[in-house]
Amino acid sequence: MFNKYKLNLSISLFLFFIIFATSAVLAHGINLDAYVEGNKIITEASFSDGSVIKNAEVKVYDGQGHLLSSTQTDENGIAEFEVPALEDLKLVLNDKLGHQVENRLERSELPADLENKELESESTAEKMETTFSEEELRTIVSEELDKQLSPLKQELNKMNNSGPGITEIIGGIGYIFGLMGLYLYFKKREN
Amino acid sequence: MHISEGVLSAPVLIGGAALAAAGVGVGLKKMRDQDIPRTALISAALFVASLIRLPLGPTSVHLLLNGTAGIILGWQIFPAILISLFLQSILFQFGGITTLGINTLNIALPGIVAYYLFSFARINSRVQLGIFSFISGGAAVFLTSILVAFSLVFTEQSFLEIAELAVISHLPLMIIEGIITVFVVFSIKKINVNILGGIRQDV
Repeated sequence: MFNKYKLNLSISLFLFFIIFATSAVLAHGINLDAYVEGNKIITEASFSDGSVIKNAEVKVYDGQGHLLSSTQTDENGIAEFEVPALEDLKLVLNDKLGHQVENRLERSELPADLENKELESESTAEKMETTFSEEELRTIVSEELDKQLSPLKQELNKMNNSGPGITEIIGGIGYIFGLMGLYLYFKKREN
Repeated sequence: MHISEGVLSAPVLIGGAALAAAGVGVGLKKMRDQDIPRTALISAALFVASLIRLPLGPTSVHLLLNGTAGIILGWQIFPAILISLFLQSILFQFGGITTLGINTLNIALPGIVAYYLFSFARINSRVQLGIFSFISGGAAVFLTSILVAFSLVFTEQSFLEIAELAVISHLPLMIIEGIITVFVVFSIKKINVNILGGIRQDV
């Protein structure tokens, strides 16, 4: 009897070890997605199982490693801030629990017209007069759409690629023990 | 290791399913009441183990643990694998329902081989026990990759080509599972439980 107890204990421990190892693998990947919208940088922080990272600090450094700004992610793991400088930026997310991830935003991804805004507004009158053919408009619109949609596409890809979550894992184990219970039940009735 | 749906032709699928069904039948027939919890536990372990991916070799592989499971369960490995693969296919979209039979066979049969290897080996010392554990664990993975290659033989590729690829990509896994098997066998020995098919109690 004692041995049986020991056996079940050891197998359970082994099982728990495996579950623990798996959830660690699943939970420790962190993503920090960043994209530019207008003159704002928007970052989205999430674990690789899809859960968002709330109240984590997002720091922005320039190419030389100087701290430019710092924000907190909200309930949805999203942080927004103005583009602090027009150069290569390094975004670092830290959730204070030992999870840290960084992401780079290249100069080319930042809006080109940030500094030239005033100049542009002066020349708007000229620009208004320029007419585009339908073809040109179409290309411009589609290019813009691509730009706007690319983060969405990335998100979709990630959603499709993400592995099974803890719900499925625990659920599956539950099914197995449920089956065991059923089998034992019918065995018992036979006897 | 999970052959996907739509890869294999019908005869292979049906043949695999029939053999797997036979194996499950033997497993269930040999299963005593006290084996049931153990089978379920190992089944759950196998179910979870395949989520542990190892980014080694040409493709990323995942743990199989069929050698270890075979040594512990014997013929009950068939129902254990069947259930864990079934749940993996519906919950994780690993493999598929139509390939359930052939996948079960490919993974469970090497487990049985490991079991008999263990049962019939003359193990007289701890060193031999370790060596046989390692060989059983590794051989099960090796045989699984050979069986997978064999199942794919009826598609257009040549057997040697697939076998080579399958074996090479599972080479790291063989070593890892060999080590895991040694670890598991010695842990079970240590707590002095007689659940390993072939190990004599006096070792």
